[in-house]
Amino acid sequence: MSGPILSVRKLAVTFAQGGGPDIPAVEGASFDVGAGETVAIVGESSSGKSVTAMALLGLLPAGAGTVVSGQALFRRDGENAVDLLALPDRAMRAIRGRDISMVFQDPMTSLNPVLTIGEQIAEVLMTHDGLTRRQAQAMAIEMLARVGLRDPGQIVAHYPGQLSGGMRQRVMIAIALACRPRLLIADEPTTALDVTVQAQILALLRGLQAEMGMAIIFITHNIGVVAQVADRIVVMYSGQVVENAPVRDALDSPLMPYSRVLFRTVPTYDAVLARRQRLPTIPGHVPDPRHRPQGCTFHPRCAHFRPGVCDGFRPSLESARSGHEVRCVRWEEIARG
Amino acid sequence: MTDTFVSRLARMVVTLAIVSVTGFLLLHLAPGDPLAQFALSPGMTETQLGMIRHQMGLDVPLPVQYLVWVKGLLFGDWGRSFRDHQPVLTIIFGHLGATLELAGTASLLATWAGASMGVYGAFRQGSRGDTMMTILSVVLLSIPTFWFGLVFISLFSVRLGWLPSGNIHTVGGAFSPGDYLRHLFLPAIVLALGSTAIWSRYTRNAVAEVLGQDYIRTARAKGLSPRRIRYRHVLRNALLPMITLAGLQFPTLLSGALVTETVFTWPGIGRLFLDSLEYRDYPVAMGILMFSAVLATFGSILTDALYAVADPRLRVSRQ
Repeated sequence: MSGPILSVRKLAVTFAQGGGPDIPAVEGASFDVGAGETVAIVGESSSGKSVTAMALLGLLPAGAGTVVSGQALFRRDGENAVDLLALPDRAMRAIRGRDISMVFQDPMTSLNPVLTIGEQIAEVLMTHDGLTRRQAQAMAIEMLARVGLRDPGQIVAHYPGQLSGGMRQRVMIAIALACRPRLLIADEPTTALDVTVQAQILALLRGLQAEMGMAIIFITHNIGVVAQVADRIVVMYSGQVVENAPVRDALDSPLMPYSRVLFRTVPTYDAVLARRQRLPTIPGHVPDPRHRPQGCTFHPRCAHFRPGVCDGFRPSLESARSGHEVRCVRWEEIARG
Repeated sequence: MTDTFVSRLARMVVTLAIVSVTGFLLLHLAPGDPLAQFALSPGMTETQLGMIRHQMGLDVPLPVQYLVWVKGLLFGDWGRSFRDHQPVLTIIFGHLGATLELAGTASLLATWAGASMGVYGAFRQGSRGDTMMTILSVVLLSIPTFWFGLVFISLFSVRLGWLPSGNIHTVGGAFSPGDYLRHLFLPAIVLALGSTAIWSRYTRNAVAEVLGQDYIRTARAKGLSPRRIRYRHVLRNALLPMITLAGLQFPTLLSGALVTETVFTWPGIGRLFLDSLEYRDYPVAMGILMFSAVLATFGSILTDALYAVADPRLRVSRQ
């Protein structure tokens, strides 16, 4: 791997709300994505993982008091890196859908209901690659075949309403990959689908990644999915990155107490059925972003909480071992047991 | 597809039947008598009045009068005016052109101005311009048409003398397009004001709703130009609810023309209707009522057809 294609540094996103205090949705998130690598961003709802993705592509609602700061250096084709957060609109548009594209959670609502599938794929190619309508349409058929849809020649003329959820997500993937992006951001791409369809979509994404070599940022709260697809895990909790490690390392020996319980909440067939064990849960809720606790934001829910140690100051993300970062002042003690 | 068509047609017949019975009853129950105009003539005797009554077919029971009238309607004989004995259809078609010109101009104006205002507001939600337009729409909607008509006449015709206060062209003058347009200007604007406000509110909501949809986020994530997103993705979807409004606005414009035509002495269907009510000219009043009802139902059928063309989801479900 020749250096990361995306380096996110101290990304912070704040939403102003009329009258009340600002909402810090993401606070100083930093992580790298290597070329061809799959990085899973995991966390509960409102941990800031989707906002992070939207901020990278400049898709957060403009105006309305949204403030994005930090850096996101993106390397297109070995050129010098550009900072995605500082790019003017026009330059950002040239990257969106071409160098970095995105697949969203709900395929039922993410496609335009009144345009044909073919047109929705073709317009990306016409916008970015300057293809003619005819060329783009031919390419659209090719892409539909690549994402495993049967009769692609017919499907181009269909409208989204004629396709099932799984088929629509394949179409979304075809749109996202039409211009051969270097980076694909998949925001919970399987959450809205049936379990069997989920597995097919994951297999498809992995197959296409092997073929086309793009990097993937995979946003999910499903740890089971992470184990299947990711090279690296970034765990987010209440707007911060709390652990960042290679997937095996993270799943086998998580250091941050939050990750430790989060990874244990995944039901396995053995644990749940055979041993009739109750699923472990994490007590409490993700704190309201407007009123985050002092010190480590996880301390009110943490089993290893030490008064005076954990609730004093925010711990910083420190390197525990090679490639493994953790945000916890007590990680060494806890790891020793 | 044929099922839908047949059931639509059946519904249309039922609607027209209800309109005809209700209209007929109300008209005959209302106080006043078509014979009043003759009764005041000097030297008119009871016998003569009875003869006129018989000629008009008013001396038989109401249900019979209704059936006679419906039978005529079905066979293309809409009766003759009590006032000048002209066939009703001839009179209606004689006035239809003026109304269509006025209502058509007004509806083009209203759609264009209202939709532009709505789109502007939806793309700049919460801006000063958006707020101003919301206020303007509410003001336009709260003030009745005749008030605008009178104010416009007093301002532009009486005070400033820029435009004529009524009629379709200068009385006694030769017809010229310029003269006609000058006469059309004020009534068309007055008639358009109310619908402009409705169009603007409706468009703003339709566009704002589409803007919040996931597929618009997808369009942005694809790196499309703002122009393409606006026309291809946003407006194309916002068009659907607007077709419905167009269908609903059509009858409204006709009823709005009633007031506007009266204020501006525009020789159209609306004024004809008021006149026929005043003279208790039952055949003409009923004829206009039925004619408008047919237009309105056709309008709604046309709306559905347009909707099916514009929305692929409807076409799909019918396959």
